Amino acid sequence: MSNLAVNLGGLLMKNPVTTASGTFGFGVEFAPFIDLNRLGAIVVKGTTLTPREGNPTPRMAETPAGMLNAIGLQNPGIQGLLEEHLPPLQSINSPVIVNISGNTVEEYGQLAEIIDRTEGIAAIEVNISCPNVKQGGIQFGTVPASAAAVTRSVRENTKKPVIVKLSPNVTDITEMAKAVVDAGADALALINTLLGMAIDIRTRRPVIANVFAGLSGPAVKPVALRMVYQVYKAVSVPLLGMGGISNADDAIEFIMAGATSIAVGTANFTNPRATMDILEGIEAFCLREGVRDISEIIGAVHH
Amino acid sequence: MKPLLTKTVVLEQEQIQPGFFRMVLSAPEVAQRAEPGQFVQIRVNNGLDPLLPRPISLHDIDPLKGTITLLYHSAGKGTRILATAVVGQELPLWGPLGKGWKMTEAEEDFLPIYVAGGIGIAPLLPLAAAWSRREEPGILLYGARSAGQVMAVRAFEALGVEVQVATEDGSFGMMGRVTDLLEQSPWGERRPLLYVCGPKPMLKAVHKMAEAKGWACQISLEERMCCGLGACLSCVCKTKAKAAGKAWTHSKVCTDGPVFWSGEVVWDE
Repeated sequence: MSNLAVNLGGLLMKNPVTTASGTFGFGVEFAPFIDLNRLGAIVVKGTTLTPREGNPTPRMAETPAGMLNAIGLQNPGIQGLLEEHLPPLQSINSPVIVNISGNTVEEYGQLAEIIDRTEGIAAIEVNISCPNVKQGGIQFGTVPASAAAVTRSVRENTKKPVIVKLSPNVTDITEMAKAVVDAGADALALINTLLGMAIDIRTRRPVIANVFAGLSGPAVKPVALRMVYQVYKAVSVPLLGMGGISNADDAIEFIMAGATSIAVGTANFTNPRATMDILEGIEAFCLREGVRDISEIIGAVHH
Repeated sequence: MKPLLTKTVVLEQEQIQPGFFRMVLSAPEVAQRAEPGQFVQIRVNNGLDPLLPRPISLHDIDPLKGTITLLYHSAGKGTRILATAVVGQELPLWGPLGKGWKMTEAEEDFLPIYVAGGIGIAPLLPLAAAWSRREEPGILLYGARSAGQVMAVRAFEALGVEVQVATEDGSFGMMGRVTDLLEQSPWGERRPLLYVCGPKPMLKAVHKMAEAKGWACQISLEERMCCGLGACLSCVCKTKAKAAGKAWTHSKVCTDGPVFWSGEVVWDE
């Protein structure tokens, strides 16, 4: 058996397979299909300071080899998460990563502070693809200084590993990566969804009530892979790669491009056992290829 | 009962009306677990387009034969591919999913009234079978556009259900809508419990009547669905909020429903 354990910026994972926030609920939704204990980590639904109802429907549309979503961060708020959804995960032997979103830099700090003193949360994933309410709704994740400010605010409030999730909707993702690493990120997650839209030609209206929505699924994989490759070259922190990973081959591509860990997102919807199939496929690949430790192939394409 | 992921085999596939198909699948474990009003997520092919599974309600559940039956309209990309599936073909699916119809306690003495609009007939048959086993087969009030969209009537009659049909063009049964059938309160002195499934305008209209007349009523909702497991939050609907100061909250059609008591549902204007 090969050693698949990895260290994602201080977060120890028994294998590199985790879940993309928003595609895995609070974990228990998938318990009928998989053994949650086998996951390298569980990333739960994006959380905000106060509960949110999210966007009106339709929130989802299918596209060739992909899907658009504009859920709008519907979530029970951090207290709801801690009271309702965290306890069932405490019996699971996989670290829990909480993905956080804020309207202001301060909110990110407040969330980090709450999580820092909460047992049973191993790391924070920072979603910077949210509009900055104080600056006219421009996304934190598209301006290096704002992204850095959010990261610093989180960093100052926690000793837990901070993973900043990058938006692909930028001119140069390496610029964003460097800015958040300089501000104290322990690891980077990429990519978030690509901004897209769909139109119903019969009604002559956008399909999604929110008009714009995030594209995910196999359609985005080459873009995500390219960005992981670029960011691996630009920074020295470990990367959590994601974007259209549907099978073990996809996951191994991301690892070779430079990802220490990988997250399974949309594939959870097309196969509720996707995480396990991918884990087993990575194990089989390592055995077949004589890889004794997964670290041998992380960033292999660069060597 | 917990859902499971399984590979099913197509045993029968038949076009029963133009564009409407009835498909029988071998799925013993699903058949043993499923309840009326639940659905399955079915993959129509192994490709990437369409990417997502299709949520389809169970039209028949036979734990003895180990089969489930789907009745569906081949209206979109996914269901058109599903309609090409041949006998012997393997189709992966997961289920049973969602919260189905609620049977009440026998001593409450309700008469079940199945109110169907078009393909909304599909999930009502296993419910009628369950009520029929309780020797209270009930009444089906069935609205459709025309005779070409009336299905499964004989299956209901075989269960002892009294069937009344209204079509908009009068080509089958009475000319009119399902609400016209409801106006006649065909249950006489009995206390009706309405089980409603159909297009949204029909659901709203029946809901409104039920509220005005004080009839007990359950509604099966439909919304664009993705995971079917309560994880992605794509298929939400508005329901009355329990917290004070809030008119509504978002519930998940896939796991909080698809069946709701009508009193829970809040419609958009």
